[in-house]
Amino acid sequence: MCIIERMPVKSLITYPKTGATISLNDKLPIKGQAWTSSDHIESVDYSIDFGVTWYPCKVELSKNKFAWQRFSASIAFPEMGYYEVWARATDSEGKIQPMILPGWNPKGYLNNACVIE
Amino acid sequence: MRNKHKYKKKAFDDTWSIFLKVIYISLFFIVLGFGYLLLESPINSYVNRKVLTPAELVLFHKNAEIRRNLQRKDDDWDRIENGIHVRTGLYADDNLDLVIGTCTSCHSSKLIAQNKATRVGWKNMIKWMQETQGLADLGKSEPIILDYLAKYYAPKDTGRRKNLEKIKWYVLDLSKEM
Repeated sequence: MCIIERMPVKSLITYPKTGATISLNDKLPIKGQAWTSSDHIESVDYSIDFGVTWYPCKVELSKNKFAWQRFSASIAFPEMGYYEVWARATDSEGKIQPMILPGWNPKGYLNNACVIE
Repeated sequence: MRNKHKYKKKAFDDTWSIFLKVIYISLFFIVLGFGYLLLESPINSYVNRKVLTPAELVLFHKNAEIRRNLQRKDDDWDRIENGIHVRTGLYADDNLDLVIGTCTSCHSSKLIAQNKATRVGWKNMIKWMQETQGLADLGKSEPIILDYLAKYYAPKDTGRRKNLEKIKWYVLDLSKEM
């Protein structure tokens, strides 16, 4: 157990809605928001292979400190199939979102994991 | 001359005091009348009250219970769909009533459903509620409730992560956005 002292680095993909299907020739546009209690979001990466490889998103500067920062990317897929698009933000202190919510946090407070279980 | 005037004044005062008395007395009766109007029905109902014998009282409560149950039936109060008790969203079970009665008098049934734990884990949660939230000792109910929770709300241990479930697939219209 520990007390909540600050918001950890976190990102959310807000577009498109989960369940999107596209044709193999098209690129998938994604958009989202990232935030942190450190100075700013340094970078956001996306992965379509469950975290094996990561590619950078375009990250916009925030309007002011602690405001959400928008990110976006355009993703090409190698073949037909089931994909999960994961986003992973890194803040100015070098802290990166973890992949999963650790087991010591059964209630899920401050869940900043990349992956929805 | 002067004395005569005095007498006249006294006579006037006497008349006036009688007149005032009459007003006071009539006011008293008017107030009494209003009081009666106000209190008439409660007094009547008290005088004409019907005292139920213990047997009649039991019957009265029984009838009220039957009416309540009929109402509940109309509202699908305890409808079960696909093994789920619709009103609470909990898994249907012979002991569900006990769980609903014990747990949801304090908190939403969703608070049960959104948690997953082993029997020991659920026991710890009950202990926590007893230590910090004023939950009473559950006595004989505790093992029954723990069995229910451990059976239906156990942690999922699947070995590997599954693909996301319950997804509504749709064709993304790329011309619309961006």
